[in-house]
Amino acid sequence: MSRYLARRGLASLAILVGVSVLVFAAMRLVPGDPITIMLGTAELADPKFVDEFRRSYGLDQPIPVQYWAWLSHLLTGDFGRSVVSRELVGDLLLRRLSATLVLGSTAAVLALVVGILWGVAAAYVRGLFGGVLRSAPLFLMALPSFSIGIALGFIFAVWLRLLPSSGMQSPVDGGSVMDILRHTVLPAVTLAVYPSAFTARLTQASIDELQREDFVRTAQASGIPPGRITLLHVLPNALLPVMTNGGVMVGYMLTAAVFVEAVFAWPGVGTMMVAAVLNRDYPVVQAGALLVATTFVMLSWIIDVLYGLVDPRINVRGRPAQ
Amino acid sequence: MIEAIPVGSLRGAVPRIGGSPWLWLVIIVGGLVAGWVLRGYIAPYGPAEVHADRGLLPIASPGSPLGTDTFGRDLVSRLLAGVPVSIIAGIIPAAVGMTLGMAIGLVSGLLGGRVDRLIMSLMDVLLAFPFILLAILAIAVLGPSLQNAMIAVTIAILPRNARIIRAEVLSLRERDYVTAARLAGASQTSILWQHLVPNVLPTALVVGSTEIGHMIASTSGLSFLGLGVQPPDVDWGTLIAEGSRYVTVAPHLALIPSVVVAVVSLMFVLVGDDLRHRLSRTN
Repeated sequence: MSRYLARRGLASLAILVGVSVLVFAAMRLVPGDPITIMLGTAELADPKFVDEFRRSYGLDQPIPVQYWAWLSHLLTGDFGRSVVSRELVGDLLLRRLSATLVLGSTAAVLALVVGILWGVAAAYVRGLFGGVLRSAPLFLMALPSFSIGIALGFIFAVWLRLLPSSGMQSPVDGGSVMDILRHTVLPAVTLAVYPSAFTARLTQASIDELQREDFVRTAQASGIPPGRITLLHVLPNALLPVMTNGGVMVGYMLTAAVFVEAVFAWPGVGTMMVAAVLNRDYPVVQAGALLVATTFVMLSWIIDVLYGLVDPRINVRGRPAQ
Repeated sequence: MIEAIPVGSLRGAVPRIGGSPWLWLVIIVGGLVAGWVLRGYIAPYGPAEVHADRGLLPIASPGSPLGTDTFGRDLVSRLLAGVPVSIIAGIIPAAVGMTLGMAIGLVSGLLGGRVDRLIMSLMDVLLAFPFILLAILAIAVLGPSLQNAMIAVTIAILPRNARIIRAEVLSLRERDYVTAARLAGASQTSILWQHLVPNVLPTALVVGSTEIGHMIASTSGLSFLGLGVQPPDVDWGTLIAEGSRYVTVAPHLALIPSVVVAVVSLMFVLVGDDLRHRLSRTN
């Protein structure tokens, strides 16, 4: 077990190193010298000044040395300053990340609760309603998140005037709990549509399969009430695929969050990244890319760990048993 | 949209009241294309024509059945102008992304060993970025435009395609007929072209055609974020972005294009799913 964890941890670490190389390389591929991005035209006219500037930033060093210097700054939490607002990128990230986390975690909890209940209902309800419960997730999963967001915004903010569709502040900037909650409803529901449909579909499919298993038949034959079988025998096993597919779900939610944040003007990492790309604010772009990729890799690792803990069929060689 | 690894199938689950998804695709996409061809007759006002006196007309106004934006530009005309852009921006990235994904997956799976490990670690690094982040990073390097948005989503879909094809190749490589060919002295090249390529094609076709829908949604999404098509050029994404500025006064300006994107991408996903079923039945 610990070997499995260590193995997965090392693999994740190797991927993170690769991610840092890729982001570093991408920022080097940006047309134009970092110098021309950082300096004004007046300063660029003076070659002596440019040379000095280049040396003071270590830009005259070989690329691997530059990469190492860059990485060691990142590891100490120094992401530089935003070219646009001159704010420390670390502070900016923290503010934006808190907003994205509020949105993402609310949506994730909502998605799991709704998705599992939905999946169970879809597996057991018969007739037309059952058919709708079964097919709806597949349609919902094919809809772009921004379309869902705009439609929900139209219904609840413009038409019924029940909820705000923009105006969220970063949670660290204050605002009452009630206010944050009201602003969170629409974006969180929008973001939760795909993962809850996905969870519902997975839960329903695995319940369908488990119904035919020997242990369920044995339980039925020994006269255990159906509700008890569902709750204690079927459901715990049916949730395993939901867990193993957690990585896919997180990846999707990170993608959808960018669109959802844009639709609802949510001050999160997604809107920050988009604005940074449009403003050519490269320190923010690279820090944001690293942050999101690291979050994604770490969450996948945690899901792997949880999976290893929950499923005892992980063998000592570090691979899940078939 | 993209991380969407379809679980199970829509077929059977979907009440078949609608008939074949192909029929719907032909009706909807064909209708849009026909509308674009006949745009001169349907929409008398050009997509970029500014009419100060016709600003923010409501739905069902004479000459502008879907109303106009603040500049008096006709929404029908602008939607139709976005048809070729959005559909091409879906088909080309899906096709190129699948072709490149096939090339990478085939080489990696066939050669195995160090080459395979190297290529797959690279793909793992790319997969560490959620789909849209990889696309945004590519646009940060290339700059925002329609062409670059298409390149960006192609890059972003590549690692997934390569992984799918490689997995397919790994299973094909162990089949008896491939072993037989190898024992009979067939070269790697001939195994590749005779046995592997024809047998991964169905998978590539199914995955690729499902991805058309996702690509339409993604490139429109990038335009919506301001990272794709740049105004005054039009696609459905830019229409949504422009419309969402007037959500309170004219919500249909954003709502209609976003419904169009959703319906068209859904149609392609359904058709890809139907294709999967037909092919899995024949195999």
